[in-house]
Amino acid sequence: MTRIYVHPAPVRLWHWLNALGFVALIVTGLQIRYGVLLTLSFRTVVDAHNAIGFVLIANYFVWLLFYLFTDRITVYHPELNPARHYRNMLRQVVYYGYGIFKGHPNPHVVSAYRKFNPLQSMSYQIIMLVLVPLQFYSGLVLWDLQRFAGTVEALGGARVVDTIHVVLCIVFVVFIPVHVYLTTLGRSAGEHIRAMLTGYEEVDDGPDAAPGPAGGS
Amino acid sequence: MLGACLGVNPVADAAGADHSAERLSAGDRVCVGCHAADGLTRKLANGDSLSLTVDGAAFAGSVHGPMGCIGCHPQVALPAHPGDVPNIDDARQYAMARSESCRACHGRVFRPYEGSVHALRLRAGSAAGPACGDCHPPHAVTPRSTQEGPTNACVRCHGDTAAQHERWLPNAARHLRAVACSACHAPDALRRVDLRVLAGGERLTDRDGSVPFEQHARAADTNHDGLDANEFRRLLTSLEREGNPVALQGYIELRSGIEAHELPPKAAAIKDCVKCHDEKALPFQNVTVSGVDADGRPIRYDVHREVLSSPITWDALRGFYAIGGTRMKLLDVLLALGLVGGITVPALHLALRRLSRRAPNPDGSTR
Repeated sequence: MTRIYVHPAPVRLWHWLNALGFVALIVTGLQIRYGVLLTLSFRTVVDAHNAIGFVLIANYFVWLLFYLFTDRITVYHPELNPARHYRNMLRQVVYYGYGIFKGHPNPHVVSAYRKFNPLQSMSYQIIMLVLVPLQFYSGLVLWDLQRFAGTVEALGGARVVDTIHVVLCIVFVVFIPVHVYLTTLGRSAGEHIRAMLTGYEEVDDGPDAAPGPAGGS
Repeated sequence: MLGACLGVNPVADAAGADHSAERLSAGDRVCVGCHAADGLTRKLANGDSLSLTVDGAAFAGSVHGPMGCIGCHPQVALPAHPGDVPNIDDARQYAMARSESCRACHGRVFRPYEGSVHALRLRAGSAAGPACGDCHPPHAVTPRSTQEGPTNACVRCHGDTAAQHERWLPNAARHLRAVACSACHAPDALRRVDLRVLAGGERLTDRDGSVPFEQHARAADTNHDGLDANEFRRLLTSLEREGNPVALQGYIELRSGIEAHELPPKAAAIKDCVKCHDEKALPFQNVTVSGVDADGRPIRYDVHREVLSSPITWDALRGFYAIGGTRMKLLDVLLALGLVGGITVPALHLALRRLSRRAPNPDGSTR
Protein backbone atom coordinates (compact mmCIF):
# COMPACT_ATOMS: atom_id res chain seq x y z
CA MET A 1 0.00 0.00 0.00
CA THR A 2 1.12 3.52 -0.75
CA ARG A 3 -0.10 6.77 0.78
CA ILE A 4 -0.41 9.37 -1.91
CA TYR A 5 -1.29 13.01 -1.60
CA VAL A 6 -4.39 13.31 -3.77
CA HIS A 7 -6.21 16.29 -2.23
CA PRO A 8 -4.01 19.37 -1.64
CA ALA A 9 -5.06 21.74 1.14
CA PRO A 10 -6.71 24.38 -1.11
CA VAL A 11 -8.82 21.67 -2.72
CA ARG A 12 -9.87 20.29 0.66
CA LEU A 13 -10.72 23.76 1.93
CA TRP A 14 -12.71 24.50 -1.20
CA HIS A 15 -14.45 21.13 -1.10
CA TRP A 16 -15.73 21.25 2.47
CA LEU A 17 -16.75 24.88 2.29
CA ASN A 18 -18.48 24.15 -0.99
CA ALA A 19 -20.22 21.08 0.46
CA LEU A 20 -21.51 22.95 3.50
CA GLY A 21 -22.46 25.93 1.38
CA PHE A 22 -24.38 23.92 -1.18
CA VAL A 23 -26.36 22.13 1.50
CA ALA A 24 -27.11 25.50 3.12
CA LEU A 25 -28.11 26.97 -0.23
CA ILE A 26 -30.46 24.08 -0.91
CA VAL A 27 -32.05 24.34 2.54
CA THR A 28 -32.46 28.12 2.36
CA GLY A 29 -33.58 27.87 -1.27
CA LEU A 30 -36.30 25.39 -0.31
CA GLN A 31 -37.37 27.73 2.47
CA ILE A 32 -37.53 30.68 0.08
CA ARG A 33 -39.55 28.65 -2.39
CA TYR A 34 -41.82 26.75 -0.03
CA GLY A 35 -41.57 28.53 3.33
CA VAL A 36 -42.20 25.40 5.39
CA LEU A 37 -38.87 24.15 6.67
CA LEU A 38 -37.84 26.89 9.06
CA THR A 39 -39.45 29.56 11.16
CA LEU A 40 -37.02 32.24 9.99
CA SER A 41 -38.47 35.19 8.13
CA PHE A 42 -38.42 35.22 4.34
CA ARG A 43 -36.15 38.24 4.31
CA THR A 44 -33.64 36.68 6.71
CA VAL A 45 -33.51 33.51 4.66
CA VAL A 46 -33.08 35.45 1.39
CA ASP A 47 -30.24 37.46 2.94
CA ALA A 48 -28.61 34.27 4.22
CA HIS A 49 -29.03 32.59 0.83
CA ASN A 50 -27.42 35.56 -0.91
CA ALA A 51 -24.54 35.77 1.58
CA ILE A 52 -23.78 32.06 1.29
CA GLY A 53 -23.95 32.40 -2.47
CA PHE A 54 -21.32 35.14 -2.48
CA VAL A 55 -19.05 33.09 -0.19
CA LEU A 56 -19.32 30.15 -2.56
CA ILE A 57 -18.60 32.31 -5.60
CA ALA A 58 -15.40 33.48 -3.90
CA ASN A 59 -14.68 29.89 -2.92
CA TYR A 60 -15.14 28.80 -6.54
CA PHE A 61 -12.23 31.04 -7.48
CA VAL A 62 -10.06 29.27 -4.88
CA TRP A 63 -10.73 26.06 -6.76
CA LEU A 64 -10.36 27.65 -10.19
CA LEU A 65 -7.12 29.51 -9.46
CA PHE A 66 -5.58 26.54 -7.72
CA TYR A 67 -6.14 24.27 -10.69
CA LEU A 68 -5.27 26.92 -13.27
CA PHE A 69 -1.91 27.65 -11.69
CA THR A 70 -0.76 24.22 -10.56
CA ASP A 71 0.03 21.01 -12.37
CA ARG A 72 -2.88 19.35 -10.55
CA ILE A 73 -5.10 20.53 -13.37
CA THR A 74 -4.25 17.23 -15.05
CA VAL A 75 -6.96 15.59 -12.94
CA TYR A 76 -9.47 17.47 -15.08
CA HIS A 77 -7.78 16.84 -18.41
CA PRO A 78 -10.20 15.04 -20.69
CA GLU A 79 -9.31 11.82 -22.43
CA LEU A 80 -8.83 12.98 -25.99
CA ASN A 81 -9.07 9.54 -27.55
CA PRO A 82 -12.83 9.00 -27.91
CA ALA A 83 -12.57 5.24 -28.22
CA ARG A 84 -10.52 4.98 -25.05
CA HIS A 85 -12.74 7.55 -23.31
CA TYR A 86 -15.95 5.62 -23.94
CA ARG A 87 -14.33 2.26 -23.29
CA ASN A 88 -13.08 3.45 -19.92
CA MET A 89 -16.45 4.98 -19.10
CA LEU A 90 -18.25 1.78 -20.03
CA ARG A 91 -15.84 -0.20 -17.90
CA GLN A 92 -16.60 2.06 -14.93
CA VAL A 93 -20.37 1.82 -15.53
CA VAL A 94 -20.13 -1.97 -15.69
CA TYR A 95 -18.18 -1.92 -12.44
CA TYR A 96 -20.79 0.18 -10.59
CA GLY A 97 -23.70 -1.75 -12.15
CA TYR A 98 -22.33 -5.27 -11.91
CA GLY A 99 -18.71 -5.80 -10.89
CA ILE A 100 -19.06 -4.14 -7.50
CA PHE A 101 -21.71 -6.71 -6.54
CA LYS A 102 -19.39 -9.49 -7.58
CA GLY A 103 -16.44 -8.18 -5.62
CA HIS A 104 -14.45 -7.19 -8.71
CA PRO A 105 -11.76 -4.56 -8.26
CA ASN A 106 -12.43 -0.96 -9.24
CA PRO A 107 -11.02 -0.59 -12.78
CA HIS A 108 -9.76 2.90 -11.95
CA VAL A 109 -6.58 3.22 -9.92
CA VAL A 110 -6.26 6.51 -8.08
CA SER A 111 -3.09 8.56 -8.48
CA ALA A 112 -2.20 12.10 -7.54
CA TYR A 113 -2.65 13.26 -11.11
CA ARG A 114 -5.48 10.95 -12.13
CA LYS A 115 -7.66 10.85 -9.09
CA PHE A 116 -10.97 10.82 -10.98
CA ASN A 117 -12.34 7.78 -12.76
CA PRO A 118 -13.68 8.45 -16.30
CA LEU A 119 -17.26 8.97 -15.05
CA GLN A 120 -16.14 11.35 -12.32
CA SER A 121 -13.86 13.20 -14.69
CA MET A 122 -16.64 13.84 -17.17
CA SER A 123 -19.21 14.66 -14.46
CA TYR A 124 -16.93 17.11 -12.66
CA GLN A 125 -15.95 18.85 -15.87
CA ILE A 126 -19.61 19.48 -16.62
CA ILE A 127 -20.47 20.39 -13.04
CA MET A 128 -17.53 22.66 -12.30
CA LEU A 129 -17.16 24.33 -15.67
CA VAL A 130 -20.80 24.61 -16.76
CA LEU A 131 -23.41 23.93 -14.11
CA VAL A 132 -21.85 25.60 -11.06
CA PRO A 133 -20.89 28.83 -12.90
CA LEU A 134 -24.35 28.92 -14.49
CA GLN A 135 -25.97 28.42 -11.10
CA PHE A 136 -23.86 31.20 -9.57
CA TYR A 137 -24.63 33.57 -12.42
CA SER A 138 -28.38 32.89 -12.38
CA GLY A 139 -28.28 33.44 -8.62
CA LEU A 140 -26.44 36.74 -9.10
CA VAL A 141 -29.06 37.86 -11.61
CA LEU A 142 -31.89 36.97 -9.23
CA TRP A 143 -30.07 38.79 -6.42
CA ASP A 144 -30.24 42.05 -8.34
CA LEU A 145 -32.53 41.88 -11.36
CA GLN A 146 -32.02 45.56 -12.06
CA ARG A 147 -28.25 45.38 -12.19
CA PHE A 148 -28.45 42.40 -14.55
CA ALA A 149 -31.43 43.73 -16.50
CA GLY A 150 -29.63 43.06 -19.78
CA THR A 151 -29.31 39.36 -18.98
CA VAL A 152 -32.91 39.19 -17.79
CA GLU A 153 -34.03 40.83 -21.03
CA ALA A 154 -31.83 38.57 -23.18
CA LEU A 155 -33.14 35.44 -21.51
CA GLY A 156 -36.75 36.57 -21.76
CA GLY A 157 -37.65 37.48 -18.20
CA ALA A 158 -37.18 36.84 -14.49
CA ARG A 159 -39.19 33.62 -14.66
CA VAL A 160 -36.73 32.17 -17.19
CA VAL A 161 -33.79 32.98 -14.92
CA ASP A 162 -35.56 31.46 -11.96
CA THR A 163 -36.39 28.32 -13.92
CA ILE A 164 -32.71 27.89 -14.85
CA HIS A 165 -31.76 28.40 -11.19
CA VAL A 166 -34.29 25.87 -9.92
CA VAL A 167 -33.56 23.25 -12.59
CA LEU A 168 -29.86 23.42 -11.69
CA CYS A 169 -30.79 23.19 -8.02
CA ILE A 170 -32.66 19.97 -8.83
CA VAL A 171 -29.51 18.62 -10.50
CA PHE A 172 -27.52 19.36 -7.33
CA VAL A 173 -30.24 17.86 -5.14
CA VAL A 174 -29.75 14.63 -7.10
CA PHE A 175 -25.97 14.93 -7.23
CA ILE A 176 -25.24 15.46 -3.54
CA PRO A 177 -26.65 12.21 -2.10
CA VAL A 178 -25.29 10.22 -5.05
CA HIS A 179 -21.87 11.85 -4.54
CA VAL A 180 -21.90 11.11 -0.82
CA TYR A 181 -22.85 7.51 -1.50
CA LEU A 182 -20.09 7.08 -4.07
CA THR A 183 -17.53 8.26 -1.50
CA THR A 184 -18.42 5.22 0.57
CA LEU A 185 -17.38 2.79 -2.17
CA GLY A 186 -13.73 2.64 -1.17
CA ARG A 187 -12.13 -0.28 0.62
CA SER A 188 -13.94 1.01 3.70
CA ALA A 189 -16.97 3.30 3.84
CA GLY A 190 -14.95 6.17 5.32
CA GLU A 191 -11.77 5.82 3.27
CA HIS A 192 -12.49 8.49 0.64
CA ILE A 193 -14.03 10.87 3.18
CA ARG A 194 -10.93 10.54 5.39
CA ALA A 195 -8.79 11.24 2.34
CA MET A 196 -10.70 14.48 1.71
CA LEU A 197 -9.94 15.46 5.33
CA THR A 198 -6.27 14.47 5.46
CA GLY A 199 -5.35 14.80 1.79
CA TYR A 200 -3.84 11.31 1.69
CA GLU A 201 -5.31 8.19 0.20
CA GLU A 202 -3.98 4.68 0.45
CA VAL A 203 -3.73 2.88 -2.85
CA ASP A 204 -2.34 -0.36 -4.04
CA ASP A 205 1.23 -0.01 -5.20
CA GLY A 206 1.43 0.62 -8.90
CA PRO A 207 3.16 2.63 -11.57
CA ASP A 208 0.89 5.69 -11.05
CA ALA A 209 1.57 6.07 -7.36
CA ALA A 210 3.32 9.34 -6.60
CA PRO A 211 4.61 10.74 -3.31
CA GLY A 212 2.97 13.76 -1.70
CA PRO A 213 4.72 16.99 -0.83
CA ALA A 214 5.53 15.63 2.63
CA GLY A 215 6.88 12.47 1.09
CA GLY A 216 3.99 10.48 2.49
CA SER A 217 3.87 6.91 1.40
CA MET B 1 -63.27 76.66 -35.60
CA LEU B 2 -64.91 77.62 -32.37
CA GLY B 3 -62.32 75.70 -30.41
CA ALA B 4 -59.57 77.74 -32.01
CA CYS B 5 -61.51 80.91 -31.31
CA LEU B 6 -61.69 79.86 -27.70
CA GLY B 7 -57.97 79.36 -27.61
CA VAL B 8 -58.34 75.62 -27.19
CA ASN B 9 -56.28 73.15 -29.17
CA PRO B 10 -58.09 70.01 -30.24
CA VAL B 11 -56.17 66.97 -28.99
CA ALA B 12 -56.59 63.24 -29.18
CA ASP B 13 -55.67 60.81 -26.41
CA ALA B 14 -53.74 57.61 -26.87
CA ALA B 15 -56.94 55.81 -27.79
CA GLY B 16 -57.51 58.21 -30.66
CA ALA B 17 -60.64 59.80 -29.19
CA ASP B 18 -61.13 63.44 -30.05
CA HIS B 19 -61.21 65.52 -26.90
CA SER B 20 -61.64 68.91 -28.49
CA ALA B 21 -63.43 71.54 -26.48
CA GLU B 22 -66.18 71.41 -29.10
CA ARG B 23 -67.61 68.50 -27.14
CA LEU B 24 -68.44 70.91 -24.33
CA SER B 25 -71.84 72.49 -24.01
CA ALA B 26 -72.30 76.04 -25.22
CA GLY B 27 -72.34 77.30 -21.63
CA ASP B 28 -69.12 75.48 -20.77
CA ARG B 29 -67.46 76.86 -23.86
CA VAL B 30 -68.22 80.31 -22.60
CA CYS B 31 -66.52 79.45 -19.29
CA VAL B 32 -63.53 77.94 -21.02
CA GLY B 33 -63.41 80.93 -23.32
CA CYS B 34 -61.96 82.91 -20.43
CA HIS B 35 -60.47 80.16 -18.27
CA ALA B 36 -58.38 78.62 -21.06
CA ALA B 37 -56.15 81.63 -21.01
CA ASP B 38 -52.65 80.85 -19.80
CA GLY B 39 -51.65 82.69 -16.68
CA LEU B 40 -55.20 83.47 -15.54
CA THR B 41 -54.83 83.83 -11.80
CA ARG B 42 -56.55 85.33 -8.83
CA LYS B 43 -54.91 87.15 -5.98
CA LEU B 44 -55.77 85.58 -2.63
CA ALA B 45 -56.18 87.24 0.74
CA ASN B 46 -52.83 85.87 1.96
CA GLY B 47 -51.06 87.30 -1.06
CA ASP B 48 -50.70 84.04 -2.98
CA SER B 49 -51.99 83.52 -6.47
CA LEU B 50 -54.50 80.84 -7.44
CA SER B 51 -54.37 79.57 -11.01
CA LEU B 52 -57.77 79.71 -12.70
CA THR B 53 -56.61 78.24 -16.01
CA VAL B 54 -58.54 75.23 -17.30
CA ASP B 55 -57.46 73.24 -20.37
CA GLY B 56 -60.74 73.01 -22.23
CA ALA B 57 -59.71 70.00 -24.32
CA ALA B 58 -58.56 68.06 -21.28
CA PHE B 59 -61.75 68.96 -19.45
CA ALA B 60 -63.91 67.89 -22.40
CA GLY B 61 -62.15 64.50 -22.40
CA SER B 62 -62.30 64.08 -18.63
CA VAL B 63 -64.95 62.11 -16.78
CA HIS B 64 -66.24 65.43 -15.48
CA GLY B 65 -66.68 66.94 -18.94
CA PRO B 66 -70.27 65.66 -19.41
CA MET B 67 -71.26 67.20 -16.07
CA GLY B 68 -70.18 70.59 -17.26
CA CYS B 69 -68.69 73.38 -15.21
CA ILE B 70 -71.91 73.91 -13.29
CA GLY B 71 -71.68 70.35 -11.94
CA CYS B 72 -69.04 71.38 -9.43
CA HIS B 73 -69.39 75.16 -9.52
CA PRO B 74 -73.17 75.68 -9.16
CA GLN B 75 -72.69 78.96 -7.37
CA VAL B 76 -71.13 80.56 -10.42
CA ALA B 77 -73.70 82.40 -12.56
CA LEU B 78 -72.60 84.39 -15.55
CA PRO B 79 -74.32 87.70 -15.22
CA ALA B 80 -72.68 88.28 -11.88
CA HIS B 81 -69.47 86.31 -12.51
CA PRO B 82 -66.65 87.06 -12.03
CA GLY B 83 -67.66 89.96 -9.85
CA ASP B 84 -69.49 87.91 -7.23
CA VAL B 85 -66.79 85.33 -6.39
CA PRO B 86 -66.42 84.76 -2.66
CA ASN B 87 -63.25 85.71 -0.85
CA ILE B 88 -60.58 83.01 -0.71
CA ASP B 89 -58.04 83.34 2.08
CA ASP B 90 -55.52 80.84 0.76
CA ALA B 91 -55.17 78.09 -1.82
CA ARG B 92 -55.16 75.37 0.82
CA GLN B 93 -58.46 76.44 2.25
CA TYR B 94 -59.89 76.61 -1.24
CA ALA B 95 -58.71 73.09 -2.12
CA MET B 96 -60.33 71.70 1.02
CA ALA B 97 -63.56 73.50 0.24
CA ARG B 98 -63.56 72.16 -3.32
CA SER B 99 -63.12 68.61 -1.98
CA GLU B 100 -66.57 68.92 -0.45
CA SER B 101 -68.10 69.12 -3.91
CA CYS B 102 -66.34 65.80 -4.72
CA ARG B 103 -68.14 64.23 -1.77
CA ALA B 104 -71.52 64.80 -3.43
CA CYS B 105 -70.75 62.17 -6.06
CA HIS B 106 -67.83 60.20 -4.54
CA GLY B 107 -69.23 59.71 -1.04
CA ARG B 108 -68.10 56.06 -0.81
CA VAL B 109 -64.50 57.08 -1.29
CA PHE B 110 -64.66 59.52 1.58
CA ARG B 111 -65.28 56.85 4.20
CA PRO B 112 -61.84 55.23 3.80
CA TYR B 113 -60.23 58.56 2.94
CA GLU B 114 -61.37 60.27 6.16
CA GLY B 115 -59.27 57.86 8.23
CA SER B 116 -56.24 58.03 5.98
CA VAL B 117 -52.96 59.71 6.79
CA HIS B 118 -53.67 62.10 3.95
CA ALA B 119 -56.94 63.31 5.48
CA LEU B 120 -55.38 63.48 8.97
CA ARG B 121 -52.57 65.67 7.64
CA LEU B 122 -55.00 67.83 5.76
CA ARG B 123 -57.20 68.37 8.80
CA ALA B 124 -54.12 69.14 10.88
CA GLY B 125 -53.33 71.96 8.48
CA SER B 126 -50.25 70.35 7.00
CA ALA B 127 -49.28 71.67 3.60
CA ALA B 128 -48.33 68.08 2.75
CA GLY B 129 -51.87 66.79 3.21
CA PRO B 130 -53.40 66.31 -0.22
CA ALA B 131 -56.98 67.29 -1.04
CA CYS B 132 -58.86 65.36 -3.73
CA GLY B 133 -57.71 67.55 -6.57
CA ASP B 134 -54.04 67.18 -5.69
CA CYS B 135 -54.09 63.53 -6.75
CA HIS B 136 -57.01 63.64 -9.20
CA PRO B 137 -56.86 66.94 -11.12
CA PRO B 138 -60.63 67.49 -11.50
CA HIS B 139 -60.47 69.17 -14.90
CA ALA B 140 -58.42 66.39 -16.47
CA VAL B 141 -59.29 63.16 -14.64
CA THR B 142 -59.93 60.24 -17.02
CA PRO B 143 -60.49 56.51 -16.57
CA ARG B 144 -56.89 56.06 -17.61
CA SER B 145 -55.53 58.63 -15.17
CA THR B 146 -57.67 57.10 -12.42
CA GLN B 147 -55.73 53.87 -12.96
CA GLU B 148 -52.30 55.20 -13.77
CA GLY B 149 -52.49 58.60 -12.18
CA PRO B 150 -52.51 57.79 -8.48
CA THR B 151 -49.12 56.11 -8.66
CA ASN B 152 -47.74 59.08 -10.52
CA ALA B 153 -49.47 61.37 -8.06
CA CYS B 154 -47.81 59.52 -5.16
CA VAL B 155 -44.40 60.03 -6.70
CA ARG B 156 -45.20 63.66 -7.47
CA CYS B 157 -45.25 64.41 -3.74
CA HIS B 158 -43.15 61.51 -2.48
CA GLY B 159 -40.26 62.24 -4.78
CA ASP B 160 -37.82 60.13 -2.79
CA THR B 161 -39.93 56.99 -3.17
CA ALA B 162 -37.30 55.09 -5.15
CA ALA B 163 -34.47 56.06 -2.79
CA GLN B 164 -36.53 55.27 0.31
CA HIS B 165 -37.39 51.80 -0.96
CA GLU B 166 -33.85 51.10 -2.18
CA ARG B 167 -32.74 51.33 1.46
CA TRP B 168 -34.55 48.19 2.54
CA LEU B 169 -36.36 46.55 -0.37
CA PRO B 170 -34.36 44.19 -2.60
CA ASN B 171 -34.93 44.82 -6.31
CA ALA B 172 -36.82 47.98 -5.34
CA ALA B 173 -37.16 49.31 -8.88
CA ARG B 174 -38.75 46.03 -9.98
CA HIS B 175 -41.14 46.12 -7.06
CA LEU B 176 -42.15 49.70 -7.80
CA ARG B 177 -42.85 48.77 -11.42
CA ALA B 178 -44.88 45.66 -10.63
CA VAL B 179 -46.70 46.68 -7.45
CA ALA B 180 -49.11 49.58 -7.02
CA CYS B 181 -48.20 51.87 -4.11
CA SER B 182 -51.58 51.21 -2.52
CA ALA B 183 -51.07 47.43 -2.68
CA CYS B 184 -48.63 47.78 0.25
CA HIS B 185 -49.73 51.12 1.71
CA ALA B 186 -53.38 50.06 2.15
CA PRO B 187 -52.52 46.87 4.03
CA ASP B 188 -56.07 45.79 4.84
CA ALA B 189 -57.36 46.09 1.30
CA LEU B 190 -57.98 43.15 -1.02
CA ARG B 191 -55.29 42.74 -3.64
CA ARG B 192 -55.07 40.96 -6.96
CA VAL B 193 -52.73 40.29 -9.85
CA ASP B 194 -53.75 42.01 -13.05
CA LEU B 195 -52.05 40.61 -16.14
CA ARG B 196 -51.96 43.60 -18.42
CA VAL B 197 -51.84 42.84 -22.11
CA LEU B 198 -49.28 44.96 -23.91
CA ALA B 199 -49.01 45.52 -27.65
CA GLY B 200 -46.00 47.40 -28.91
CA GLY B 201 -44.98 48.13 -25.33
CA GLU B 202 -48.26 49.93 -24.52
CA ARG B 203 -51.41 48.58 -22.93
CA LEU B 204 -53.61 46.90 -25.51
CA THR B 205 -56.37 49.38 -26.35
CA ASP B 206 -59.60 48.80 -28.24
CA ARG B 207 -59.65 50.68 -31.51
CA ASP B 208 -62.30 51.38 -34.08
CA GLY B 209 -62.81 48.41 -36.34
CA SER B 210 -61.02 45.94 -34.09
CA VAL B 211 -62.69 43.26 -32.01
CA PRO B 212 -62.90 44.59 -28.43
CA PHE B 213 -60.68 42.92 -25.84
CA GLU B 214 -63.66 41.75 -23.82
CA GLN B 215 -65.12 39.97 -26.83
CA HIS B 216 -61.83 38.12 -27.35
CA ALA B 217 -61.82 37.08 -23.70
CA ARG B 218 -65.43 35.89 -23.74
CA ALA B 219 -64.81 33.90 -26.90
CA ALA B 220 -61.77 32.20 -25.33
CA ASP B 221 -63.64 31.40 -22.11
CA THR B 222 -65.48 28.34 -23.38
CA ASN B 223 -66.56 27.25 -19.88
CA HIS B 224 -67.70 30.74 -18.88
CA ASP B 225 -65.94 30.37 -15.54
CA GLY B 226 -62.88 32.54 -16.13
CA LEU B 227 -59.88 31.65 -18.24
CA ASP B 228 -57.93 28.53 -17.42
CA ALA B 229 -54.40 28.05 -18.76
CA ASN B 230 -55.49 26.69 -22.14
CA GLU B 231 -58.15 29.34 -22.56
CA PHE B 232 -55.65 31.98 -21.54
CA ARG B 233 -53.30 30.86 -24.29
CA ARG B 234 -56.22 30.87 -26.70
CA LEU B 235 -56.96 34.48 -25.75
CA LEU B 236 -53.36 35.54 -26.43
CA THR B 237 -53.38 33.73 -29.77
CA SER B 238 -56.66 35.38 -30.66
CA LEU B 239 -55.29 38.83 -29.76
CA GLU B 240 -52.15 38.24 -31.79
CA ARG B 241 -54.23 37.41 -34.85
CA GLU B 242 -55.48 40.99 -34.66
CA GLY B 243 -52.07 42.43 -35.30
CA ASN B 244 -49.01 43.00 -33.13
CA PRO B 245 -47.49 40.35 -30.92
CA VAL B 246 -48.72 40.79 -27.39
CA ALA B 247 -46.85 40.55 -24.12
CA LEU B 248 -48.01 40.51 -20.52
CA GLN B 249 -47.10 42.72 -17.61
CA GLY B 250 -48.09 41.41 -14.20
CA TYR B 251 -49.22 44.10 -11.79
CA ILE B 252 -50.23 43.72 -8.17
CA GLU B 253 -52.95 46.20 -7.32
CA LEU B 254 -56.01 46.66 -5.17
CA ARG B 255 -59.27 45.09 -6.24
CA SER B 256 -61.12 48.30 -5.43
CA GLY B 257 -59.94 51.82 -6.08
CA ILE B 258 -62.05 52.95 -3.14
CA GLU B 259 -59.84 51.02 -0.71
CA ALA B 260 -56.81 52.71 -2.21
CA HIS B 261 -57.84 55.81 -0.26
CA GLU B 262 -57.56 54.27 3.20
CA LEU B 263 -53.84 54.88 3.45
CA PRO B 264 -52.58 54.61 7.05
CA PRO B 265 -49.25 56.10 8.18
CA LYS B 266 -46.40 54.41 6.33
CA ALA B 267 -45.29 52.52 9.43
CA ALA B 268 -48.41 50.37 8.92
CA ALA B 269 -47.56 49.56 5.30
CA ILE B 270 -46.84 45.96 4.38
CA LYS B 271 -43.17 45.10 4.81
CA ASP B 272 -43.59 41.39 5.33
CA CYS B 273 -42.34 39.74 2.13
CA VAL B 274 -44.55 36.66 2.50
CA LYS B 275 -47.61 38.81 1.98
CA CYS B 276 -46.69 38.27 -1.66
CA HIS B 277 -43.82 35.77 -1.74
CA ASP B 278 -45.99 32.84 -0.81
CA GLU B 279 -48.17 30.75 -3.06
CA LYS B 280 -51.10 31.28 -0.71
CA ALA B 281 -50.63 35.05 -0.58
CA LEU B 282 -53.74 37.10 -1.16
CA PRO B 283 -52.82 38.72 -4.49
CA PHE B 284 -52.38 35.37 -6.20
CA GLN B 285 -55.86 34.20 -5.26
CA ASN B 286 -57.45 36.81 -7.51
CA VAL B 287 -56.09 37.08 -11.02
CA THR B 288 -57.38 39.06 -13.97
CA VAL B 289 -56.22 39.80 -17.47
CA SER B 290 -56.92 43.25 -18.83
CA GLY B 291 -57.01 45.43 -21.90
CA VAL B 292 -58.19 49.00 -22.16
CA ASP B 293 -61.32 50.27 -23.89
CA ALA B 294 -61.38 53.24 -26.22
CA ASP B 295 -61.95 55.63 -23.29
CA GLY B 296 -58.93 54.32 -21.45
CA ARG B 297 -61.01 52.31 -19.00
CA PRO B 298 -59.45 48.96 -18.03
CA ILE B 299 -61.49 45.94 -19.08
CA ARG B 300 -60.66 43.04 -16.78
CA TYR B 301 -61.52 39.41 -17.21
CA ASP B 302 -61.19 36.75 -14.52
CA VAL B 303 -58.38 34.25 -14.84
CA HIS B 304 -57.86 31.03 -12.90
CA ARG B 305 -55.02 31.42 -10.42
CA GLU B 306 -53.35 28.29 -11.83
CA VAL B 307 -52.40 30.36 -14.86
CA LEU B 308 -49.61 31.88 -12.76
CA SER B 309 -47.99 28.50 -12.15
CA SER B 310 -48.89 26.46 -15.21
CA PRO B 311 -46.24 25.29 -17.67
CA ILE B 312 -48.78 26.02 -20.41
CA THR B 313 -48.52 29.76 -19.70
CA TRP B 314 -44.87 29.75 -18.60
CA ASP B 315 -43.70 31.41 -21.79
CA ALA B 316 -46.44 34.06 -21.81
CA LEU B 317 -45.71 34.99 -18.19
CA ARG B 318 -41.92 34.82 -18.42
CA GLY B 319 -41.60 38.43 -17.30
CA PHE B 320 -43.78 38.12 -14.20
CA TYR B 321 -42.39 36.14 -11.33
CA ALA B 322 -42.61 36.50 -7.58
CA ILE B 323 -40.26 34.06 -5.86
CA GLY B 324 -42.31 31.65 -3.78
CA GLY B 325 -45.55 33.13 -5.03
CA THR B 326 -45.91 32.13 -8.66
CA ARG B 327 -43.71 29.07 -8.81
CA MET B 328 -44.28 26.52 -11.56
CA LYS B 329 -45.84 23.26 -10.38
CA LEU B 330 -43.87 21.19 -12.86
CA LEU B 331 -40.62 22.26 -11.19
CA ASP B 332 -42.03 21.25 -7.82
CA VAL B 333 -42.72 17.76 -9.18
CA LEU B 334 -39.23 17.53 -10.72
CA LEU B 335 -37.67 18.64 -7.45
CA ALA B 336 -39.59 16.00 -5.52
CA LEU B 337 -38.57 13.33 -8.06
CA GLY B 338 -34.96 14.50 -7.87
CA LEU B 339 -34.95 14.32 -4.09
CA VAL B 340 -36.54 10.87 -4.03
CA GLY B 341 -34.33 9.61 -6.87
CA GLY B 342 -31.15 11.04 -5.35
CA ILE B 343 -31.79 9.11 -2.15
CA THR B 344 -33.50 6.02 -3.50
CA VAL B 345 -30.97 5.05 -6.17
CA PRO B 346 -27.98 5.02 -3.77
CA ALA B 347 -30.13 3.24 -1.16
CA LEU B 348 -31.07 0.51 -3.65
CA HIS B 349 -27.45 0.19 -4.77
CA LEU B 350 -26.35 -0.14 -1.16
CA ALA B 351 -29.02 -2.74 -0.49
CA LEU B 352 -27.93 -4.76 -3.54
CA ARG B 353 -24.31 -4.61 -2.38
CA ARG B 354 -25.28 -5.88 1.03
CA LEU B 355 -27.41 -8.67 -0.44
CA SER B 356 -24.70 -9.73 -2.87
CA ARG B 357 -22.18 -9.91 -0.02
CA ARG B 358 -24.43 -12.27 1.90
CA ALA B 359 -24.96 -14.57 -1.09
CA PRO B 360 -23.17 -17.85 -0.36
CA ASN B 361 -20.34 -18.99 -2.57
CA PRO B 362 -20.47 -22.47 -4.05
CA ASP B 363 -18.21 -23.68 -1.22
CA GLY B 364 -20.75 -22.42 1.38
CA SER B 365 -18.77 -19.36 2.50
CA THR B 366 -19.92 -15.73 2.10
CA ARG B 367 -17.94 -12.80 0.71
